[in-house]
Amino acid sequence: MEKNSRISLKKSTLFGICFAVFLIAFAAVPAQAQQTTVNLNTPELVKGSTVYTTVEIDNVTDLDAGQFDLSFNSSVLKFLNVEDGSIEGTKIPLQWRLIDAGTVRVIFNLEGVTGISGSGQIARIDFEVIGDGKGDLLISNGLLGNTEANQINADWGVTAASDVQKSTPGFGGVFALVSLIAVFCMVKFGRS
Amino acid sequence: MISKSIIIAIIASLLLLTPSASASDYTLGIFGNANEDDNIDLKDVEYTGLIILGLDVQTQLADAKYDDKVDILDVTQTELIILGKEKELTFLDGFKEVMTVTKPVERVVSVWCTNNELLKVLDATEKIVGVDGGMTQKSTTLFPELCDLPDCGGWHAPNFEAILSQHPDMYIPWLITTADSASTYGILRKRFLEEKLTNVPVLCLDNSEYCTGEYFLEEVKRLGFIFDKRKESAEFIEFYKGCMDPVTELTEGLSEDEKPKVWITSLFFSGGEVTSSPYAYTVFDPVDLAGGKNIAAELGSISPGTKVDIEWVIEQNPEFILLQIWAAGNKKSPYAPDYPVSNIEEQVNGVLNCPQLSNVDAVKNKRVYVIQYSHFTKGPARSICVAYLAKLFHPEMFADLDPLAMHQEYMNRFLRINASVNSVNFLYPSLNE
Repeated sequence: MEKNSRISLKKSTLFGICFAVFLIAFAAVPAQAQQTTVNLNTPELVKGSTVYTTVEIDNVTDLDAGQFDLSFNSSVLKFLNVEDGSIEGTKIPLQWRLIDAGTVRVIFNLEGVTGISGSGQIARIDFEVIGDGKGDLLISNGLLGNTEANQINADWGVTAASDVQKSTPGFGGVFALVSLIAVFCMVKFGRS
Repeated sequence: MISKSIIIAIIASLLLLTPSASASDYTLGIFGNANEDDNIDLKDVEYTGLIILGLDVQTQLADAKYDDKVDILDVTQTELIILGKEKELTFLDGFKEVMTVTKPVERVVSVWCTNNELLKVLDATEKIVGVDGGMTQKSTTLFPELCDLPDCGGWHAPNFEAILSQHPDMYIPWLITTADSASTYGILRKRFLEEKLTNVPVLCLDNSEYCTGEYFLEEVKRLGFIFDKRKESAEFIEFYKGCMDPVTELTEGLSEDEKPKVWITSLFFSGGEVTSSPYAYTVFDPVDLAGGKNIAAELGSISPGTKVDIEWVIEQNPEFILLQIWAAGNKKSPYAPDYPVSNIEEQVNGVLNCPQLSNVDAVKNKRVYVIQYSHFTKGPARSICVAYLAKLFHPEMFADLDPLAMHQEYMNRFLRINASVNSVNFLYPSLNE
């Protein structure tokens, strides 16, 4: 009798733990959804045409400044220009420089230190497609700063148009993992 | 289009590097002063951007966040500094050592009266929570607002328990940047204090007469940033220059022959009397700036001074003798209405009546003066001290200069003392005599 009661108590405790793990997992999913992401979008490259590559940003909070290097295959793409972006209607004023034949460095700093939150486009970089092969567009040294001069933790996501887009484990993945753990726990401790 | 942008950027960077007409001879030692001029402004924001783009030379002070790299976060930090919204401030202290403080700085223990005078000039004494029980607590005329604060020990004997009990954001001792490292005031002293005051930043200020005017102005400006008193520091610097510049503009053009020979000494080192081996200051900026020639300047780079042979002094035949006196010795500030003038009279008379010096020009012409050390030859009043000395050394050249009016304005406006300048004792005999 006493033994059964102890087993029941153990089971209840384990169920409680599993439930708590569930809750934590659910809580973590919306937090991941707020992750700041920066993506590079490039349309199909057609020789002889002009291609407009955009650097998009999502879910940023209190953005004040940023910088990144965009490298490219200079035998395929001829750099033309960098155009200012806009986030939630606020212009992103850019400065840039070709630091070598295949890399353009872009920096921006919003006026004052009030910052901007939301999503939008940081920059548009224009190229002329002059050759065959891969464009090899790649963002590196990406850095975003907030209004307190601290780094904004951002996922710089896709680095090239032909690359497979990086993604964070979604709700389905987390749910499946947690369910698996819960079932494992119940089966194991249920037997004991 | 590319080349046009680059050319514009290069021209912009060249313009930033071109010194403006009002440029000073000092670099404001605050990280964020990317172009290393005398201020932090939007030019530094632009300059940092140019560094990141590889269009300009990286400077030490461009690293506003002091994290060993110059990036876009330094741009924002510089903007925050400009706006006075920074959470931390990194700067070079008097020893040119890097120091970071959390802003705002609200609780300071400061145990040297001249540093406290500087904080008073910047209207920052409300931040002082502990002082020395010697001069500051006893200077009721000069520091009525500080006299009742806790005694945290003197500059030479800090009471660490009392200091730490005040939970200060900063401790300001008395240190001399030009002193030998092992001396009582040197860098090892700072290390000792840092060891005893763990987690309390020890700020080295040095407004002594051994330092140049440029250093002093940089220190005043730096303090304006540290204590969020930039407007006050700018006002004081303007006043300081207004006193100093009319003097130095004329004295800089003097030939060596036109400068009177001056012996700067103190009887403190020889028991109040002129002995066979008196003291001579080898470095004394106010005399140089006022157009005097320090007879001991060529004795080497010993700072602040050394003992000399009395025969050597006689041989030099100084035209002026300045006896530096410690207000602390009297436990009275020279602003106190009951300051014991008899003490300084005795010193002047002692030199005038010294048989060994009877043939020296300064004695023959009664050009022997007592000059206050605290609150005059060092500290924020040093530009006024220079004006006094210029008037003394070159009365015709500076016939229109009115050091007493300068001093009166300083007392009323910056020290908020309502007494008459004629009632204070900084130079004896006074300029009026």
